[in-house]
Amino acid sequence: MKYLPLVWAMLWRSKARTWLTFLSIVVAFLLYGALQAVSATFMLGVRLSGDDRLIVTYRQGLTKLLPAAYQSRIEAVDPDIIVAAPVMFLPATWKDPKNQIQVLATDPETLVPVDPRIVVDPAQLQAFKSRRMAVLAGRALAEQHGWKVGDRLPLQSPVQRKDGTEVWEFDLVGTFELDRARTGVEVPAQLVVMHLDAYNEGATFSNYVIWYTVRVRDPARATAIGKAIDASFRNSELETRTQSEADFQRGFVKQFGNVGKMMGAILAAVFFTLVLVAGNAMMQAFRERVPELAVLKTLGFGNGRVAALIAAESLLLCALGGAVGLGLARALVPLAPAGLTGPGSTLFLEPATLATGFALALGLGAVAALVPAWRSARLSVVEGLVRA
Amino acid sequence: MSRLRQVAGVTRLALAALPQRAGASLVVVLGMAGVVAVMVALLAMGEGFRQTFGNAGSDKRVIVLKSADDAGITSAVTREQLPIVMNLPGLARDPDGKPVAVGLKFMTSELRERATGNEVGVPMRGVTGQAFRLWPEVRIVEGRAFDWGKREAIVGRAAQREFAGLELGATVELTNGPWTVVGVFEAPGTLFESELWGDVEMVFPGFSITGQFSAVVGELAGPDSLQTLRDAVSTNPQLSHVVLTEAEYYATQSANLGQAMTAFGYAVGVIMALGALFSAVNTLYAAVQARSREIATLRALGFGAAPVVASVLLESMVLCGAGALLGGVLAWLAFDGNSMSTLAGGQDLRQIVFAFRVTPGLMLQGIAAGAAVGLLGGLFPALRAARLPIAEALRRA
Repeated sequence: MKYLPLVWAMLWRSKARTWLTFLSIVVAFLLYGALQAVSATFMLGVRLSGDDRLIVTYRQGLTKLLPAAYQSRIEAVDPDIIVAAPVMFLPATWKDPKNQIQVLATDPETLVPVDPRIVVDPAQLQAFKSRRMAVLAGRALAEQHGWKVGDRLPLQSPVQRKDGTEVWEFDLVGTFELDRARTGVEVPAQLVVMHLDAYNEGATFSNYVIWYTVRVRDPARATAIGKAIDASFRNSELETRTQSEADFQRGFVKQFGNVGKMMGAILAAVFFTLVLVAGNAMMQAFRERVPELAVLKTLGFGNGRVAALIAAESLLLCALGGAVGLGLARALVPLAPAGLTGPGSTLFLEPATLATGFALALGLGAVAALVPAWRSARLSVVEGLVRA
Repeated sequence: MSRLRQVAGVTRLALAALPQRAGASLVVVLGMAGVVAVMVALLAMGEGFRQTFGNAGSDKRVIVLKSADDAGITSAVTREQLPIVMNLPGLARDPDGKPVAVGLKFMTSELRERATGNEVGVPMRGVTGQAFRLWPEVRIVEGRAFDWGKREAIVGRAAQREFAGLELGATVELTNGPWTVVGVFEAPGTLFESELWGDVEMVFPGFSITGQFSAVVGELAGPDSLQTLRDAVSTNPQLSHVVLTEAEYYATQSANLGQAMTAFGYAVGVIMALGALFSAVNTLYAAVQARSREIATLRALGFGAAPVVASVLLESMVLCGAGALLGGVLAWLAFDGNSMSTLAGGQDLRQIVFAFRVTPGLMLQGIAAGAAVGLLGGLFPALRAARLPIAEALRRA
């Protein structure tokens, strides 16, 4: 620690170079943070999956719908099944066709039991359950559109209605959000939740669901229960496939192509360039300073200590650049427009990603210092002083 | 004239000395190459995606569907409405007097993507009788057309390449049961090649609950027929549909994702270019410092400041330009024509196969970016070189 002032002074020997190297490191880590945020958003569904939840779809995934009547049959498969929540979606818009709203149609009694992370005022939940055209809205969505509890909410939907109109007249009776403590990450609630019964009464095409979300008491039994569900529908007209929620979400993300691999390839190109830039800057710094290093050695600094000083300088520069770049990413990422990676999504950065980024910055510092540190350790005093 | 000669002379000197600074110069070249390669590759992805949709859409064909922003589960033409739509004025007729129009029903099935082993949704386009007259670009290149009334499929070349189990003669398990692959078709560069085609009446059983068509596609009779058709649809009390040209339809379908890919490419490119800029400035400062004796000597000999500035700028632009060119070529070699598949809108999770397109325009953009970074990056070092105090620089030598 007592050498810190010395390292600091060495670092600022050439102000322009240090600033430029610093800025290129900052930029690289800003990009790292932004790309990781995009990846993380794609993987959010997987991240939020509970190991006590299973998804039941048609045997070939989402290519066909399942009958709404499967709910009670699924719940009867095993006593460890807490609830089977039917899931249907009503694509809708609010006023302008650009304001796309996803409306989840489900059995109101299953909403909280299937996902206890949903936080909703008990009185509002009761109001939602008791009225057929009542809906709950995600708090973030309600704030975005300025909806108030008690509002009448007419939503347009291309889903054909029995009465020939295209408007679904809902009553907003409450809002919900996702418990930050239990999700571990800030997830803005962007859905509207309606009664599946209201969907079935309104739509010409009714009594089918896209999937069922099943919650079980004991996560250790989830796989066995999944198999039992599929077995109970074998040889029926619509056979099922039951997967863990995480596998289901992963399969969905994979349909986009390999997002993670693409981000990885970009970052590899960025860091390859950065190692060259930082390494080159350290080499320049070393060459300029050969006589000074020789003086240090004359004063009694050992080879190891001189090498350590060079390495410390590189580490310090990269650590500072990394910290500032990651800090900037952390500040800027939440400002990205919502919906960038899909309807209702927002970008986010996790502490673990930032920690990995910082470790990368230190690694970069170490690699960049490798050659200069080695050369400075081997530098002979006489040779170095002659160059002065 | 002598100015130009001075510039040429000083620049030649600077470039001749490049090998002495090979390490640092190489950093600039490689750094710039990395930036341009990534940017061009990402832009080529967006370009390829848009072209795949754009090539499929024709101004001469129209699509009649329930709602403009949704062609997924909800878009519907009932069996009763089908003949009404097909016989609307404005649609072309074949020599036998039958309308050149097709009722469509899409069926998505899960197939394995070869490259990744993932189960993905592959669309089958169920069509009625006039399909091959309506889409003449779809040509069968192997096997034969499917027989009407049988579960026989023809598969697009891109789909066959990308997804497992679609060999000629194979039986493939689709969502409503086993189908036989009897032919392979090509329609180069269009999204049709991502699809399987078959008789729509074989798609409905075991798949569709409502028995409704997804949409009707027809050929316009003439250049003025679009308005005729639109008027006919809006005045017909039995229809509540919209009419889009196929080109309009596919442009909206691809707009979101295509724009997102391009925007992402530019965003990443700009941030990376900023990093490359810093590294270029760094290297050129070092170059000016290394050449200070030489520059001072030239100035003492009577060379002006302008040629010195120009030579530093040119050196910077040569390095960055070379890097950009290298990056563009790398992106072209590594990515051009590479095919990839992704989820392409719609609620029924269909995959679209498309190829990266590294166009000359994109290459030029990359090289222009390189030159711009070179110019900016050389500016401050060049000014420093021009302001170098001659006497002091010579004394230091």
